[in-house]
Amino acid sequence: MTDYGIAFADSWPNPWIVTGQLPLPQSTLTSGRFRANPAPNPSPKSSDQESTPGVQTTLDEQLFDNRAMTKIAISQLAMHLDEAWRRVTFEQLDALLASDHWEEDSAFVKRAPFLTFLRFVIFAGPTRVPSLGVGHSGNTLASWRNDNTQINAEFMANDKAAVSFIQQVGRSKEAIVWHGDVADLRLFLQRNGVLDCIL
Amino acid sequence: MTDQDHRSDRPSYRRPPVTEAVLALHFSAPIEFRFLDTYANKRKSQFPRIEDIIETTAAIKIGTANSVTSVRKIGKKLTNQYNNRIILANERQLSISHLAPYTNWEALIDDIRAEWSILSRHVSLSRITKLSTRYINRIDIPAPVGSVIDMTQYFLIGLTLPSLTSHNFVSTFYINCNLQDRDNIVSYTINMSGVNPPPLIDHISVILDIDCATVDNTPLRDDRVWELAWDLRDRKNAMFESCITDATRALFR
Repeated sequence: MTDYGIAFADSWPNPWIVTGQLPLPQSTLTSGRFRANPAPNPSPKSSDQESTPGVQTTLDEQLFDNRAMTKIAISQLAMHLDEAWRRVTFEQLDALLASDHWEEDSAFVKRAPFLTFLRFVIFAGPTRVPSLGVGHSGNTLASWRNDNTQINAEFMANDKAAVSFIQQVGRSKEAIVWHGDVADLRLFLQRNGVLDCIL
Repeated sequence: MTDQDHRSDRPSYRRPPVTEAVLALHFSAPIEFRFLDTYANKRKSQFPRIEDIIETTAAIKIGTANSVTSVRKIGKKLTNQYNNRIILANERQLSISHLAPYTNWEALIDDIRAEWSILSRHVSLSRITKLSTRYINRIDIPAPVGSVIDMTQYFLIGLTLPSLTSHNFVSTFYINCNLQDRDNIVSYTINMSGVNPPPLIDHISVILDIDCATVDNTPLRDDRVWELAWDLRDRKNAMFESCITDATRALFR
């Protein structure tokens, strides 16, 4: 993953602190009210408590859980996504992970590749919603198409993606294949003149 | 005081950083599991996913190989069909979580009021003794690969490090503090941490998790409960605003 840093000032005391706004533990210690052990949060967050499904998981329940995983992943990034984009994607996931359409060779959406897809979407900002699919190994598949080009992408774990597209060059069709980090994908599409296919 | 009388000092943000908002009611006496079960079944049409909340305990007898473990059902977890509303109903607490995208406080308080009115039909002897609300915010700060962020530009809460560390950078951190107000009305639990890896490319992300709870375990009249909830909300908002800078606010607008 990427290396990031958080800077601290060269001098002491560090300007991270604004005294008076938020007393440091030392100041409450003098009043005898400092707690050595941090108190637990009074309000439990939804993932705090261990839970178990009431009934052993059926296919319907597994599909519900898989839809839940994808939708929660999207929701956690909703502040960076267009509402219409989110709604259409939800509809596609509902169709993709519906028991009516489920076949023997269908696969569940894996979380890590799906997160890679979302990271690409927010970073590259495609305005067109792709057609979504799931590969046999659970990777997220996305396809964008316009009059001249169809871009097929497979999103994998750890920010990796494989992309192919076919372009009309003269009288021939040319297939171009790319594999790399999703942070570079937009640039790749731009360099090959097909960025407008996703915008 | 009516709901309409309340005004929050928190600015209205176009893209609020809230990933989860929680409002919880705490009870005077434990609610029997069978009542929670009945309540969960009544809510099945709105919350189709129902799971048991379990408590696992283990006891080990020192000096022997004897150990005892037990698993006990203590409550119910209900999830709606959109997976963005979650209820945790256990022996001592009823809470509702709104996951992102955050709508507003009115929706949160309306939901808990509705759930309490259903649950309380079965548990008339149990009273609300305490309230708490928790907002988990994830603040995504643009930071191209390899860049270094001065956190004081974004936060008025943070770490104190000795000068020896000034030539290093922090890759992960976690801050937890519990504060009690001078009037002994509410307490705050603040958790702040870096998210590693950050969920967005070319960003760093920081969790600012603020929990505000009433301190006393005094039984509350039902009409006082919701008034107090609005007060908690305003205090929680004020605490959040006091922890961030205008540069941070600009990220949500």
